Amino acid sequence: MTASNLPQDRAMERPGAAMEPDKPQSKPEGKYSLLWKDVRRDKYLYFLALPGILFFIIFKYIPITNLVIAFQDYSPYFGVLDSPWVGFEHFARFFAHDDFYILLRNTLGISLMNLVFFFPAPIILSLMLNEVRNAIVKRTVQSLIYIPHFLSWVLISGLTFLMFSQSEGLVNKALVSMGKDTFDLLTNPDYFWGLLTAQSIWKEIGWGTIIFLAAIAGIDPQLHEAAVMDGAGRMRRIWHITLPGMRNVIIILFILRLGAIMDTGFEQIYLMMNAAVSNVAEVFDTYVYRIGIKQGEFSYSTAIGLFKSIVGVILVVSANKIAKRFGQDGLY
Amino acid sequence: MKKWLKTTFLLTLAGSLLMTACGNNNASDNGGVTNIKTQVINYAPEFIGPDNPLWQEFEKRTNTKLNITWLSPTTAEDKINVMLASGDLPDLTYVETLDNSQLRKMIDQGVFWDLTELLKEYPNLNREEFEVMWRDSKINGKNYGVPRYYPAYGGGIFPMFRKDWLDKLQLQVPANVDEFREVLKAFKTMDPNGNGQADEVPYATTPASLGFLYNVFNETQGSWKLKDGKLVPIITEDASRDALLYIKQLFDDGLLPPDFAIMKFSQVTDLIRSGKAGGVGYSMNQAWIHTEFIRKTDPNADLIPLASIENKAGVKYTPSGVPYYGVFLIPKKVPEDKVKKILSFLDYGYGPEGNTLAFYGVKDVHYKEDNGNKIPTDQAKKDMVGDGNMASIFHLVSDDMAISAIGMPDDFYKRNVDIVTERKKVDVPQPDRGLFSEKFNRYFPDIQKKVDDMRTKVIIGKETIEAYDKLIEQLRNDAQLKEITDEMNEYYAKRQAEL
Repeated sequence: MTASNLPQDRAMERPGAAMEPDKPQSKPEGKYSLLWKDVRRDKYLYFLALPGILFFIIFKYIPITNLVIAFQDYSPYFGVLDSPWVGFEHFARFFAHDDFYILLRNTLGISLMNLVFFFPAPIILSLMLNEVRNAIVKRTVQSLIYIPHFLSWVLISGLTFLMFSQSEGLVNKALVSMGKDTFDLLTNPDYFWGLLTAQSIWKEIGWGTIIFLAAIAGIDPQLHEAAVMDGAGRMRRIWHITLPGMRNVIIILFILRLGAIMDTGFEQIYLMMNAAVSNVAEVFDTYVYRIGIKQGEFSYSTAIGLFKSIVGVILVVSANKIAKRFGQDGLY
Repeated sequence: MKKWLKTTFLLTLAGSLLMTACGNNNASDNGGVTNIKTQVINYAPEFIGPDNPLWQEFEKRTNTKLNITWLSPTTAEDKINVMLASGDLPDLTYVETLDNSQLRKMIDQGVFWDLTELLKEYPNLNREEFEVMWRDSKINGKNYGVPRYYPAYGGGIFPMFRKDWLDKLQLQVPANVDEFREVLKAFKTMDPNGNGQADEVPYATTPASLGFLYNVFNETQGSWKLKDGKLVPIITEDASRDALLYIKQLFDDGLLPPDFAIMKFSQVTDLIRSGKAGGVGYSMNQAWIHTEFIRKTDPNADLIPLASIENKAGVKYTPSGVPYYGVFLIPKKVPEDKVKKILSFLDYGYGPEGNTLAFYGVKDVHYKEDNGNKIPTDQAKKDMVGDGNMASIFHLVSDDMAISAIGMPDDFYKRNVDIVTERKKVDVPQPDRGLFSEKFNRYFPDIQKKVDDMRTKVIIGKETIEAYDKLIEQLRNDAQLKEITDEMNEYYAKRQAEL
C-alpha cells in the first residue's frame, strides 16, 4: 500500500469506531479479536491476498479431507462419505508387500544421490559465477544455463536416448568409430541412479543458482573490503564471508528438500525406466501410478501417498528442530 | 463502500444463478432434440469438433445434440479410470474393457442400466454379425453395455514381412518358427535393400510386441491354457521358457534392434517406415498404411501379413479376439426414455445408412460410387472422414475394419481378404475369454510385469536363464498366484456348467 492511500484508509475507519464509543478500553482483548482488528485495519492487503488464500483452501486444504479414503475401500458409487471403512488394511498390505523394501531403497537412494550431488551443485556454480569479473561473460553464462530448466523431461529423455542409445546414440557411434566397444548406459542398473542425478543437475543447475546469487548479492560489500584490507585471498573470502552469508538460505532450502525426500520426480523416472533397470528404478511414485491409476486401486495408492507425506513432515519438523538447536534460523 | 460491495456481490450471485438456470435449461431435452454426452477413444491423427460437417450430419439425422470428448489412445486408459473414480459419468460411458475391477464393482452396485430387455427392440443392434458379440460381453447373463463391433480376425499384433525383400532373396513367406528365424537371418546377411551395407534391422519390435511368440509356443491365446481340464497360467509353463530362449537366440544373432529393451512402440513405427526393417508386428490394415510410407523412398515396398505360424510341434497359431473392442454403458442416472433415445442413436449408427455415413461420409460429398467401390473425394480429407473420429463411435461392421485402410489398392485389399480367410480356418483356443476374477485383476499385472522384466533382462543378457528359472520356481510356489489360479478355475468351471 502506498503512503498516500493511508490517510484515506484511516478516515474510512473512523465512523465505525465512533459508533461504539462506550466500549470499555480496558477489556483484555483475546487472540481472535486482535486478529480481527488486524484484518480490519489491513483489509485491502487481505483482499489482495484473497485469491491466493482461496487457491490454497480450494485446491490444497479441501482435497486433504479426501485422504480419508486411505482408510476406506473407496468406491466412486458410494463416494467418500459412504464407502466402507477398512482401517489400516491398505497400509498393512503395503508394508507387507514383497516390493516395499525395494521401493523404499530406490526412493531413498535416488533422493540421497540428489541431496549429496545435486543439492550442492548450484551453490558451487553460483560461487563460481560470483567470482567472474567480466559482467558480459557472467550474464551470458547465466542466461545460457537457465535454458535447460525450460525443457520438459520428455525432451530430455529423448536427448539422452539420442546420445547414448546403442544403435543410434552419438556417443556410441563415436566410440565405434574410434574402434572401441559400444557403451551400455541406458539398460545398465549400475549406472541408473547416477544417470538420473546427472540429468537433474544438467537440467536444474542453472535455475538453482538464482536464489543463491540473490543471497550473495545481499552480503554487505564492506565485509569483503575489510577482508581484502586484512590480506584475505579469494578462497578465504569465499569460505569466511560469502558462504556464511548464504548459510540461512542454504539451510532453509535443505530443510525443504528433506521434506521432499520421498518425492523422486515421477516424470523423469517413468520416462527413463525400462525392463532392464526396473529393479533399481521403481519408486513410490511410479508404483502409485501403476497401481493407483492403471489398475484403479485408489484407496491403496492414497495410503501410500499418505505414508510418503507423513515421512516428509517428520523429516521437515526434525530438521527444523535440529537447525534451531544449532542456533540457525529455521523454516518457521 | 459497503453498499457498493453488497450490490456487486448480489449481482454476481444473481448472475451465476441465472447462468446455472440457463445451463439446466440447455441440458434438458429441447424441442425433441436429445442431448448425448459421451467420451470415446479416437485413433484419428486429428480430432474433429462440433463444427465438422459429418458431426453435424449425424446430429441432424438422429435428432441429437452431441457432446463428444475424444480420448487419445495413449492416455485413454488413465482417463477412463479417473472418470470411473470420480463417478462423473457421461450419458454414454465408453470403457476399453469390461475386465476392470472398478467397473465390475460399479456394475454390481447397479450404477449402469441392464439393457438386456431394452435391446430387443432395435433391429440394427441385433444384426446377425453381432450375435457372438452380445454373447461374449454378457456379465452374469446380462448385457450391461453395447459393445463396439470389431472383427474377430485381422486385428492383433502379428508379423508382416517385406514381400519385395523376400522375392529378391527368393524366399517364401515363413510358415513356422524355424523359417521365421531363417528369413530374418537372410535379411541380416544378404543385403536385401541392396545398398551394400549390412544396415538392415531384420525385425523391428519391442519386447511387448513379441508377446505373440509365447502364445505360439503355448498353443493358446491370452494368459492361460487348458491342461487336463484346468486353467494354468502360461508364464510358469516350460513352453514359455522355450519361447524365451528362442527370442534370446534371435537377439543374440542380431535379428532384433540392439535397443530393443528401451524402444517405444512409436520407434518401431519409425523404424519400419524408414525402410530399414524387414519385418514388424501389426494388425492387418496397418500393412498398407506403412507400405504407403515406405513407397515414398522405395517404390517396390510391399508388406505382407502372415496368415499363421506353426510352432515346433507343427501347431498353427493366428491371433483372434472377441468380436468387439470397447463397450458403451449407460449410467442409471439417465432416465429411461432418454436411454431409449440413446439406443436408437446407436441403432442408427449400426444400420446400413449410419454405418456408411460414419466411415465413408456423405455420398457425392465425401465419396463417389464407382462399380460398388467407394472412392474418397478431396472433401473427405478436408472433413477428416475415415478411420477414427465419427467412425470411432460406430465401427464399420465388416472385416474391412481390421484389414482395409483408406487408399488401399484393390490387389492389396484382395490379398488381405485371402489372408484373413486363411486366418479364419485357424482357431486357437482362449480359455480365459470372458472370465473375470477380482484376484487376477488385482494381483496378476504385478506378477506379469516381474516376469516380463526378467524375460527382457535374459534376452539382452543382463540376467542368466538360471535367474529366470529361479523366479519361475518361486512363482510356482507363490501363494498369490495359486489364489489367482484357484479363483480363475472356479469361474471357469462355473461358466462351463452354464454352457
